[in-house]
Amino acid sequence: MNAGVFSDAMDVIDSKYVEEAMHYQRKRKPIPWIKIGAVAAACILVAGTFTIYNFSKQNQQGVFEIEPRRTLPSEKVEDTKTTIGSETNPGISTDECAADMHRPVGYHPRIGSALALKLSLHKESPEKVYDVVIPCFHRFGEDDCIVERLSDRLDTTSWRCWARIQWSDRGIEEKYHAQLTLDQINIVVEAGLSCFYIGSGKGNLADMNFDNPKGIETYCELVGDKYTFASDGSIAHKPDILVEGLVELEP
Amino acid sequence: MEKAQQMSIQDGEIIKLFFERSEQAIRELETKYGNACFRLAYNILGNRQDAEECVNDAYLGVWNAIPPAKPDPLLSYVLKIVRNLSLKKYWKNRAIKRDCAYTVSIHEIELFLATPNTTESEIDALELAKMIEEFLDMQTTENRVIFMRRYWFSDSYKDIAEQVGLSEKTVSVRLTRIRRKLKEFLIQKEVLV
Repeated sequence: MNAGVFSDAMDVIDSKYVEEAMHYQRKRKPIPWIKIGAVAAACILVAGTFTIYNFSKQNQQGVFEIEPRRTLPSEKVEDTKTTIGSETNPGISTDECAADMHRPVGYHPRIGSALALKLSLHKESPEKVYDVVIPCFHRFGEDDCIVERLSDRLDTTSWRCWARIQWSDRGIEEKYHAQLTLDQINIVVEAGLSCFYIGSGKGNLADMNFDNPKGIETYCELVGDKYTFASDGSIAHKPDILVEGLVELEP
Repeated sequence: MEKAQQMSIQDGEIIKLFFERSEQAIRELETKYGNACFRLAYNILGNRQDAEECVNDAYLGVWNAIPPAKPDPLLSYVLKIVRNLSLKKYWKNRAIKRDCAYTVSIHEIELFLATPNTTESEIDALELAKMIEEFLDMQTTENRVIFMRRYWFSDSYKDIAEQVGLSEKTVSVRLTRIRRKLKEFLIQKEVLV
C-alpha cells in the first residue's frame, strides 16, 4: 500500500471522526492527595530501610568490581565514570550487578547520540540468559522498537558474542556492538539510541518495552539529561552520562 | 480563545449569511475557524504563504458550494476542503522537498504499512476508508483522536500530547501500537499480505 491510497482514504473518511478529534477534551482527574501522601510515606520508609541494609551489607562484603575497560589509543579518557553498586554509590545491592554508562569522546553531546554501557552480571549464575531490547528512535520520530535477542547470537562454548547490525533497509542507520562474556555485557551503540534494556530472559521478549517492564529485571534508560539504572526492583536515577573512553571492539 | 469562540456566531448563522450571498459570511468563517484551517494547511504544506493561499481558496470553494450545500457540521466540511486543496498543492510542490509535518506523518504510516511482498491486493480509497472507519470504531476514543490528529490533521506528537493530556513519549508508543494493530487488521482483511 502506498501513501497516496492511505491519504485518499483519509480524505473520504466519515466527518464524525474529524469532529471528534477537533472537539476532544482531555479528562481532568482529581489529584488524589491522600493516596500520594500515603505512597510518599511508604517510599521514604522503604528507601530508608534499604539504604541502612545496604550500608551494613557493604561493610561486610567486598565490592563487585567491573574489569578495567580497554580504550582506543586516540581517545583521551577522563576518569569520571559513575558506578552503581560500588562503594561510591551504595544504591543497589553489590551482589547483583554494577554498571556504568559513558559517552565516548567526540560524540555529539546530546544524550543518546552514542552510548556505551558496561554491565556486570550475576557472577553466581552464568547460565542466565540476558536479552537486549533496543527501541530505536529514528529521524521521523519515535517509531518501532527493534528487538534483538543477543542470546541467539551467543556462542555458548566461549560465552562470547559480537554483533554489528545495521537496519539500513528500513531507513534506519543504527548500529550496536556487543560483547557477552561470562559476567559482563559490553555494548556500544551508535546513532540515535535513547535507551535500552537488559532483560532477565524471563517473560516474552516481544512484550519487553519501556511501557511494560514485564520480564525486565535490569534496565538502563535515558530520560532527558538523566539516566536510570534499575535492578531487582531498585531504581537509581543518575545525572548526565559522563565522558569516557570508547570500549575497543574487535573488527 | 475559547471565550472568543463562544462569542462568535453560530454555524447556522454563518450558513444563513452564505445563503444571503453576504461577504460577511467569509469574514465570520475566518474569525471562527481561520486558525484551525491555517494550522491544518500549514501542517501539510510547511509554508506560510502556500497555507494562506489554500485557506483563501478553500473559502472561495465554500462560497461556491453554499448554497446549495448546507453542511452540518460546518467545521469539518471546511477542513475537508482545506485538506483537499492543501494535499493537491502538496503533491504539486513535491519536487521542492519540504520537511513539513505531513511528509513526516505520511512517511511514518507508509513505512509501517508497506509490505515486502508485492502481492497485496488492489484496494480503492473508498473501500480502505470503510475499513479504517471499522478499525477506528474498535479503538478507544483517546486512541481514535490520537490517530486522527496524526494522520488527518498531521499534528506533531507535541501538539497531540498537549491536546490529549499525555506525554509525547506515551503518544509515540500509542501511535506505534495503533499502527501495528491497523496493520494486523488490514492483514486480517486481506488488504495487506
